[in-house]
Amino acid sequence: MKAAILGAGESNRTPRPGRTAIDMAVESSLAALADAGVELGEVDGVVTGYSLAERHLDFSASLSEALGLRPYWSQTISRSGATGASIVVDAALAVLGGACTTALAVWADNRVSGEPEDMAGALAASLNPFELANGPLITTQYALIAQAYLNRTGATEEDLASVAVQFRKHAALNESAKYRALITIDDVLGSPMVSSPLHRLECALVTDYGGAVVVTRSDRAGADAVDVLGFGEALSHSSILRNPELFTTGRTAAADSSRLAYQMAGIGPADLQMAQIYDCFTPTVLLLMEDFGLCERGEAGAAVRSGLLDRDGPLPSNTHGGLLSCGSGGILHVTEAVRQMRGTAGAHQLDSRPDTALVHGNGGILGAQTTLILGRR
Amino acid sequence: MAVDPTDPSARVWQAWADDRLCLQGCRSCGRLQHPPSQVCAACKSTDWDLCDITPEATLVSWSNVHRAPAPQFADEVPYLIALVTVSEGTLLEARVHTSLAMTEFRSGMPVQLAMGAVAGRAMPIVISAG
Repeated sequence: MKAAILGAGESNRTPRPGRTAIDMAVESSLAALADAGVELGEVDGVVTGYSLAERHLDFSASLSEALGLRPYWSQTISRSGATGASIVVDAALAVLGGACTTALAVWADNRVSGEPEDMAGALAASLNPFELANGPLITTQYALIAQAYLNRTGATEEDLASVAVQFRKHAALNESAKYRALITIDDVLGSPMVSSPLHRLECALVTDYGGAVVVTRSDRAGADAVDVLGFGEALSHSSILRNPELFTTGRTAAADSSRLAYQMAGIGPADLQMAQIYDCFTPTVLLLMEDFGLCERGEAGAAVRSGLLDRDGPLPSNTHGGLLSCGSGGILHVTEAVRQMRGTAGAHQLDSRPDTALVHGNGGILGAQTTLILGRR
Repeated sequence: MAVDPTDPSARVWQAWADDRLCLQGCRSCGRLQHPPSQVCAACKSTDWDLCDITPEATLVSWSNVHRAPAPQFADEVPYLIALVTVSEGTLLEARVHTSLAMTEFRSGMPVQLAMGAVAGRAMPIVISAG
């Protein structure tokens, strides 16, 4: 028995003064249910991510009440960037374990429309005090990993920049992406340095977002459903200082999460037809690609430049534009995968619907990792 | 704010404020651990103490920060942050105050640490490289 995703929905991401995270969570939930052909009253499980911008004692309780639901099973998950993929794992475990039958997995945040002072406080709490006292940005922590990668592999800043160029090309076709104008490697390297070697165009956008999927057991799902063939999760550290491997081999816990997911699905990297990879910064994608076994260690930059991740290439990836060009929230990697596999992606639909996909969420500073393997029926 | 004398982080901050170049060390297996915590990740012992370290360290990585994350750092940008190995497997993040240009930095380069201050707080800093 597997879990299956029946449909996916997203909220509008255009900021509006005073717009709440709950409002976007409701909008994406209703859109996902409509896409799935499931009545709201059938939902008996709700799992949500957390909001950085808006305080809730239990976000899933706030959302359930806003939707008029009294679910059997409800959870609020905080796994930083990995949350979007992780709530799908939790929903799958809940329907397979019998805690509920039909679960909504939802993540929304009003990171632009919400109160900026709350955002600053929330982000300041995200690094270890022994790191923070030096004055690093979150970008700096990724930059330290990126610089070590460049030192070790001989990859170049152009290799890093090529990730942003690739995903912008995909965003250009996505009507809901925030940035759609094509960019070059020179544009990326010419954008303001944030924390060397990372430039502004190599950093995730900050936008409002909401996304949701409907999850049930595969024996209750129809031909249009997307099966969760496998999943895996792993956590290596909170502070990068406690995981020297990041700076020696560059191996992250995504090597473990993807291995577990491949094993459960009974497939390997060569069987993938699409990938949606958490892309908070350009080096994140290169390290994760190597952990997934998509290329040899140190070869990810060359693979991106050869078009591996292009929508017309062997492994179309971040076909919505990702965090780098489309919008915030790792839940969009999930909703995008489901839409491409169900053929509902609209203007940026791939020419042939992928049969298998890897979806990956990364949390913290490459610490929390969640991999999903999805399959069409 | 009250300091719990048994809290590993509080003990390290206090020692640094007293100008002592040290980290948490496990009394069971002898490994250094940073940032400190209640349990040794290597041997799972809860028996730890502060351990003085030598100023010699090795450069692992670096980043020049061009945008301050908080107001207390705003008048210093850009500033250089390094990641150094103080012993096998123990990393420290520290500001760099050397005359060496960043373009001359190499992974594996020897560096010297000393107690200094960052935004008014006592911290180990990298005082020389190469």
